[in-house]
Amino acid sequence: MNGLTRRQFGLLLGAGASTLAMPAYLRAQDKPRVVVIGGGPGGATVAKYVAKDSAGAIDVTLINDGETFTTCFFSNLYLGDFRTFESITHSYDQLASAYGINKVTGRAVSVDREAKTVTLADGSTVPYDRLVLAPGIDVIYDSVPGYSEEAAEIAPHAWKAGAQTQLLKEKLDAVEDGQNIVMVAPPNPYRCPPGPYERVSMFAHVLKKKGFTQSKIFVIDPKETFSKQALFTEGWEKHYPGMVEWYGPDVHGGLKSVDVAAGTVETDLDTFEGALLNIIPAQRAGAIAIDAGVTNEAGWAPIDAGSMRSTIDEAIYVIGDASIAGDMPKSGFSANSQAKVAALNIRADLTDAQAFPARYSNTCWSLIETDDGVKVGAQYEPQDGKITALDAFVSQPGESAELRKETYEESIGWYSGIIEDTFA
Amino acid sequence: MVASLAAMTAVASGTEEDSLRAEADERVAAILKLSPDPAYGAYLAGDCATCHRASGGSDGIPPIAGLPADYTVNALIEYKLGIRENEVMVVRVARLGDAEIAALAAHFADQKP
Ligand SMILES: Cc1cc2nc3c(=O)[nH]c(=O)nc-3n(C[C@H](O)[C@H](O)[C@H](O)COP(=O)(O)OP(=O)(O)OC[C@H]3O[C@@H](n4cnc5c(N)ncnc54)[C@H](O)[C@@H]3O)c2cc1C
Ligand code: HEC
Repeated sequence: MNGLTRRQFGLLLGAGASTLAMPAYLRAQDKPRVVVIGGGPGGATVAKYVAKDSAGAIDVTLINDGETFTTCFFSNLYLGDFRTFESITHSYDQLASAYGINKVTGRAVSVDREAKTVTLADGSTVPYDRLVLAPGIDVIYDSVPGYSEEAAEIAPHAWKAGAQTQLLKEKLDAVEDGQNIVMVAPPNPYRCPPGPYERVSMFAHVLKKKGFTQSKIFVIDPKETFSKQALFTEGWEKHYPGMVEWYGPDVHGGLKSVDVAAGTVETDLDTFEGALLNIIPAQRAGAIAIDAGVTNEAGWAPIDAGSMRSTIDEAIYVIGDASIAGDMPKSGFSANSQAKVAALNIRADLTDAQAFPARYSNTCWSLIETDDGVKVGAQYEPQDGKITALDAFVSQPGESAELRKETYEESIGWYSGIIEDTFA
Repeated sequence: MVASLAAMTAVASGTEEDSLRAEADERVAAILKLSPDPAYGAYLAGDCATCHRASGGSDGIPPIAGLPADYTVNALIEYKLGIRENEVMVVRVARLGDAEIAALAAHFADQKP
């Protein structure tokens, strides 16, 4: 609609009259508007690619509740002293200056799908022609009996990066030899399948480096198996013998409750005590996606596999962790990949850009110990209405130290790459 | 016995290598004859930008912005045929046809690192 109006307008003015000659207010109104909620690897990437590739033909607004963005990816490496907090925190300045994106710092509180407007916490409204929801996840605190938002100030989840991550680091550094750490791992589906186990590795790395011999790390898992299990198990035995004890549901018999003040995690089998509890609850799409009414009963947003468009509202796209992306894991890499497919389809919707068939990809690297990196990845395409994994690979147990080091170095290159691709 | 076996394997893998090389050269030449679509190349290159920085910077992953088209085509074909082995590249090229490889190579040849 808007695209048509714009082209007709150009015709009326005649071929010689460039859009630049129009008054600014007319230009701004005439341009189709894309609003993005969430400035993570999903939202920031889609804002950038729409703005960059439409070269000014589309007006792009990026709404994020923080002034800066700290990545969850590599936040485990921050816990392990491989990265500083500053090195995983990024600004939106370049997106505004290089591509003319309107960055709004604030929280979106509601979406009016009839009027096509977004309302912010300060009461202001932003109109859209296409809306992209990329709010990431919310943790469901009460999925773990005894856990709550307040309890997270004592026993951090650190599954959203920022103050929670810094709190977890502080608590990790305060652990003394002989004191234990208890992690409650999340049920599927959750962001970053190997994330909890990479984190356990980084916990162990810090304790080992301090020469601790008496401390243990207990993992209470609701899942029978987990991502890259053979690789992590092998790595834990090799680098941290006797330190990590993983309990699946058939052994612990079920999680009964946590008491963050007492530092205990009670299961059918036993009560585990820790000076540090890291409780990672079940998850669902960020609240704004649920409020907008584009999610299913489980709290995730169904999308069209070929475009990332919501199957519930044609004017909305949902990307990243909040979406149901078939075989793709919830990862920063996936969110960035989905953003590019969405960006192309949005441009094809609103301008005369050509859409090409969707292709997606993902790779998740994990660090087990210094220079011992592993990876898992795949390419994906829409098949039978679902984003389907077509080619996949995973690191193998027993690989040479040299290959593992190369894999780790690759992950560092990837981090610089995805950050440049998302924020610069 | 062991020595002659080793020699035989070397000869066998030698011819195998030669024929792989010939196959690679043939495909590279065919792809370089195509006329690639720039818009398609730009879209496909989005997947590469996650690792290969558009600015050409590199730490742990080689830069590809500005590489001549024939170099890129040859490298991608080598991953496809298993002459080069890096899993992230091997799975990526597995789903790229000749038109895609041509479009990508032309796109990166145009980039200024
Ligand atoms: C410990 C850990 C390790 C990880 N490691 C890796 C890894 O190595 N590789 C990898 O690829 N992935 C990794 N991940 C996963 C990755 O961080 C997520 O999958 C990714 O961040 C999802 O991106 P997103 O854009 O969907 O959401 P997010 O990154 O969560 O971004 C959403 C943004 O939107 C904001 N927001 C939400 N609602 C609103 C609202 N209503 N108004 C305004 N702003 C809002 C949020 O505050 C946030 O800034 C890891 C995750 C964790 C927890
Ligand atoms: C997940 C990260 C990642 C992605 C995404 C990726 N690459 Fe690579 N690429 C690498 C790594 C790592 C290497 C070095 C591999 C090796 O040692 O053989 C490489 C090597 C290359 C090379 C050889 C460079 C040289 O100097 O010889 C080319 C060409 C290349 N990639 C092209 C591409 C293209 C085109 C894409 C997109 C379709 C792409 N890559 C996507 C990680 C990636």
